[in-house]
Amino acid sequence: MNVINRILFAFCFLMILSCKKDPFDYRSKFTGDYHFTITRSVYLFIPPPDSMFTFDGYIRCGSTRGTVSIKYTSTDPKEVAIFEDGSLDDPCYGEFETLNSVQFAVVYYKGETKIIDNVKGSRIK
Amino acid sequence: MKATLYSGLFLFLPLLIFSQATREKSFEISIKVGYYYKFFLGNSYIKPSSPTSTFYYNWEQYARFNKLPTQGFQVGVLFQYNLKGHWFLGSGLIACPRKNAFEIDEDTLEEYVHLPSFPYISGVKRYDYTYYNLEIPVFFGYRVNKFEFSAGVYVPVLVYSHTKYTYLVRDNSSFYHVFTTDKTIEAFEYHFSVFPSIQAGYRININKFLLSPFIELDFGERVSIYAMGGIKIGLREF
Repeated sequence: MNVINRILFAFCFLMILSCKKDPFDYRSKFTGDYHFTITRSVYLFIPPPDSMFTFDGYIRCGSTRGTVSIKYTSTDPKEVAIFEDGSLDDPCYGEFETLNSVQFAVVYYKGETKIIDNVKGSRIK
Repeated sequence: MKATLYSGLFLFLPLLIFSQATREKSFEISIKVGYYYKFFLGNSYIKPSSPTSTFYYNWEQYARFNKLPTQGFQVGVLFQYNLKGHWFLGSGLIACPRKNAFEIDEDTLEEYVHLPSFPYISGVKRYDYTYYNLEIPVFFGYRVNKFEFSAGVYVPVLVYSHTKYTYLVRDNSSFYHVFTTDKTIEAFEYHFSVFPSIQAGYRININKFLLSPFIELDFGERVSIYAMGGIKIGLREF
């Protein structure tokens, strides 16, 4: 095989490979360890004052495509839908304001008591 | 991992070819400067894809959007190695911000909204992506008199993305109207993609310099074409 044939072969090989596309998984921009600050509001007839606490948790890729797993308290992590622009959907409504900060709210019930966690997270460098 | 392997292969192949080639003539270094206009073949409207499509998940966010033409530039250094006869082989390092833009009309967005995360925000109305790429070109060409024709690929090796999301916002005041707001996200990212390319140029010798105006077509994602024109300025010939 002379040089020209080798080059033609290599070129064809490259052109075939060029058909292959491997889209970037946008979730990887948002995953990492985060320091969360949680403001918890409990909605009772006579509501207690809001409580505030912090937790060092994480955001990982979720079990299905397009989801992340957010652990912002000591309880089980929450599987959350995330869009490419960093918007979060059910059950954590909010967004990544930057790649290093996230803000969302979680509404849930304990019995018939409504609780809202307002969460701010900043990436741990 | 797969992307890294492919990148390594792309970098390795030119070396393999160089090692096999018989050095006969010369080695050229030149600076390349070009301007591109990116357009799309066919309909610019993106139909909703089938859920069975390989890239359904990655591309469904653009369903019912229109692909918009963009423009930009390319600048870099090229190394050209002359082989036997009229053949030559080239590589180098090119900086090229490649842009993508998608926009949806407001009525369609209202009808097919999928992102009701925030009060009054209907969803993304427009995506503006700029990928600041450092690319390694690998091309193979043939020279006829002063004309040269080549074909090859550009392989991005470093990608810094700048993405601007423009949202449609509905104001629920007594005067109903819409306006937009936006958010920008920047990050290094890598997705394996190559841009096949064909080029034609004309070589003009002026004293010790070699000027080569060229036209070029790069083939991008979603049946897009980067139509480019520019000039290569030869620095030195060995």
